[in-house]
Amino acid sequence: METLIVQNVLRRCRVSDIPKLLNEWNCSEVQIDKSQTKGEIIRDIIELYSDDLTATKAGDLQLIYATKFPEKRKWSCFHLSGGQDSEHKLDPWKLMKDLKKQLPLHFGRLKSETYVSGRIVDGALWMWAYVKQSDKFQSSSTIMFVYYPRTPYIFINHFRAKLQEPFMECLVYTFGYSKLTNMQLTGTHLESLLQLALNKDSQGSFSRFRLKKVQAAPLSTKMPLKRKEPDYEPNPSIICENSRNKRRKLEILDNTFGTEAQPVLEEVEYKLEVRFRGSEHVPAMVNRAQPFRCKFKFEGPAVLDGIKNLGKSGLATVPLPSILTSVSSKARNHFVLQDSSLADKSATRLSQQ
Amino acid sequence: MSNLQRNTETPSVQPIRNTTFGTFSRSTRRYTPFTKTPKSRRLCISTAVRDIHRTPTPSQQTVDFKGLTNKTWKVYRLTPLYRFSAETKDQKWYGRLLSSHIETENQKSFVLDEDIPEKAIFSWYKGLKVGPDDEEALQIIIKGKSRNGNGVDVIVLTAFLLCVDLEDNPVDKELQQHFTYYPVMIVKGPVHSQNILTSWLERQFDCRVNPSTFSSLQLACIVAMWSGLCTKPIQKSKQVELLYKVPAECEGMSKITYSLCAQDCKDLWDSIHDSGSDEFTEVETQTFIRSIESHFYYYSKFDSLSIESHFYYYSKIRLSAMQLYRVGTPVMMLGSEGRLKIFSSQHALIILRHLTELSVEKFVP
Repeated sequence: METLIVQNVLRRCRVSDIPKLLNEWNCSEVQIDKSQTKGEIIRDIIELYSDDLTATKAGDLQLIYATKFPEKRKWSCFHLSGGQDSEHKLDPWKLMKDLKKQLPLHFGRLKSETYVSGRIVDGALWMWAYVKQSDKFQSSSTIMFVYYPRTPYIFINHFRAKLQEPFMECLVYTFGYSKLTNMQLTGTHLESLLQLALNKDSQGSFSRFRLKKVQAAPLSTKMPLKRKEPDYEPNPSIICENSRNKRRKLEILDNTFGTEAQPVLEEVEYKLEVRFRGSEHVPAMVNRAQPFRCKFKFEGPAVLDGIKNLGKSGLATVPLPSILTSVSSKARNHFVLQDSSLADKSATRLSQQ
Repeated sequence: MSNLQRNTETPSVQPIRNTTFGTFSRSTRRYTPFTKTPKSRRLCISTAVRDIHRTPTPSQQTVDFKGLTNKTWKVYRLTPLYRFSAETKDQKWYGRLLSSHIETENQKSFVLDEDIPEKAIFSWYKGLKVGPDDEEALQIIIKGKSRNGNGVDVIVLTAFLLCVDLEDNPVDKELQQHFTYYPVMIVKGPVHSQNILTSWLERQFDCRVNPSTFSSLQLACIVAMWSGLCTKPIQKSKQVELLYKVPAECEGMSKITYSLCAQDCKDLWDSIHDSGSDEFTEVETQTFIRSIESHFYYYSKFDSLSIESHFYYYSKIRLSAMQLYRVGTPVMMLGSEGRLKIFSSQHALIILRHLTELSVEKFVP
C-alpha cells in the first residue's frame, strides 16, 4: 500500500518536479536519468526507498505534494463556531500533536487502522490522514485539510462520505468548538477561498485596499489608474455613440466589484426552485403552481471576474441582479433559490441553509 | 423558392475563432434569416411506420438497437457511394479490401498508445430500414490487437452507415442505379483508425466523408423538439441540459451549464406543443427556447428563447448571444462538433431520422 501511495503521487507530477519533491521529503539528492521514461524513473525511486517506507512516510510525500500544488485539489470551506478561546487556535504545533493522537481514536470505531501525518507551512497547519479499509490504496479514503491558526475556517479535501461523521466529531472535539458547518464554498485556489471567507464585508470599491495587499510588492509599483485605458489605439474617425452609457455601466460594475482582480473561483452554481419566469412567451404556464426546477452553473478559470466581464461586454444587463453580485459577500458559491411564497410574485430570497 | 434555398449551403460551424468578430457573427446567426431552416420538423418517423408502431407486433417490440445506445459516436456525413454493391457476397470482398488498406496504412505510419487495427468485417444491421427509399444499414467492425501488446483481439472501431426514413432521394432518378446514398455515418474508435476508414471509403466509392457539425440553431431545434420525448419512468439523473460557450473576449468565464428538470421541461413542452400535430414548428422551437432563456435572464440578467427566457428573467444574462455548444435531453446528447450519444433505444429511430434529414439538407447534388 505504501508503494502505491508513492506511485500515485509521483505519477501525478512532472518529471522535472520530482527531485525537488524528494529532496524535501527525504533530504536526499536524487539524480534523474533523463533518458528513462517516467514509469521507469518511478520504479527506480520506489526500489531505492522501499526498505524503510511506512504508510505515514508515504503520506508525508503526498502532503508535501499537496502543499506545493494546492490547486490540484478541490477544497471545501468549513466554519467552526461556538466555544471558548483555547490555546489551540494559537499554537499549530500543539494542535498537530493533539490531532495525531485524536484522529486514530475517532476512526477506531470503524475498526480500521489510521495513519496520520502533519506539516506546518508558512504558519498554516496541513494534515493528512489515511483510513485503511482494504489492502488496496483508495484515494477516497485519504483525508487532507488545511487550518490557518487564529481563523475559524478550515479547508477540507473531498473524501468518502462514510468517514465524514467521525472526522467532523474529531475536529470539533480537538479544536474546542461546538459546531462545524459547511459554508458551501469550494474551489482550488486556497488563498482566494480564505480571502472570501475572512473578508465577507469588504465587497465593492473598498475591496481595493484589501486586494492590493495580495500583490507581491505593493509599494514598488505605481498606483494603478482607476480604469485602465484600452490597449488598442482609438481610431479618431470612429465615434462611440453610447459612450455615456458605457461609462455608466463601468461605474456601476466598479462599485459592486471594485477595480482589482477578484478572488479566484472555478465555479458558481445556483439551484432554482422557483415559479416559471418565461411565461410572457408561454401564457399557458402562468398558472402553474409547482416550481420549475433548474440549475445554472458558471465555470471558468476565474468566474467572479467572468461575471464582471459579462456585464462589461454587454452579454448581461447592468446592474446585475444580487444573486450574481453577492457571491463575495455571502462567501459561498453554491446557492439554492426558492420563492418565499408563490403568492408573493416577485419576492425571491436566497435561502440560508 | 425551396429549390433556391436548397442550393445555398448552410455555413457549417467551424471551431471557435478567437476574434471578437467571429464569435459574435456566429452567435447572432441564430436569429438571422441567412441560414436555411425548414418551417417545421417531423417528430416521428413516416406515417406508415408509425401506424405499425401503434399496434406493435411482437417482432417490432424486440428491436432494441443493441450496440447503438449508450455509446459515444462521432457523426459524419457522406455523399452518395459510387458502385456500391449491396449483395451479401460482396461484403466479404469489401472486408478483404479494407483489411489490406489497413495493412498498408499501418506500414506507413507508426501509432503510439492506440490499439492496432487489423481486420475489417462488413455486415448488415437490421431494423433501421424504415422508408421505401432507405438502404439497409451497414455495420463495419475493425478488429485488431490491443496496445498492451499481449495479443488479445479487441474491437478497435465500430461504424454504421445509416439511412433512416429518407423522404426524397436527392440523387437523380437515372443515376440511382449507380449511386447508393447513405447520408450519415456514425463511428466509434480512435482517430487514427477513423482516418483510415474514411480515406478508404473515399477512395473505394469515390465519395466525400465530412465530419458533421451542428450550429447553435440546429442544436436549439433539437433540444426544443426532443425535450418532450421521455422514457417512462423519467430518470431523475437524466436532465435536459444546455451548455453554452462564453465568447473569448469575456475573460474568466468559459462555459455556462443550464440544466433543467426533465419532468418540468416536459410540462413546458406539452403546453407549447399542439398535441394533435406530428410536427414541431419553428415557432414552437423559438417559444420554447426563448422562454427558458428569459427565465435565466430574470435571475442573472444575462439574455437568451421559452427556456432562455426563464434564464434571462433570473440572471439577466443573454444566453442567445452565446454559442450553444452541447445539448442533452433524457433520450440523447449531441455536441456541436458532432459527438452523439443515444440513451433510449425507443427513440433511436427518431433521432437517426433527424440526423439523416439534416445531412440531406446539406447535400448539394
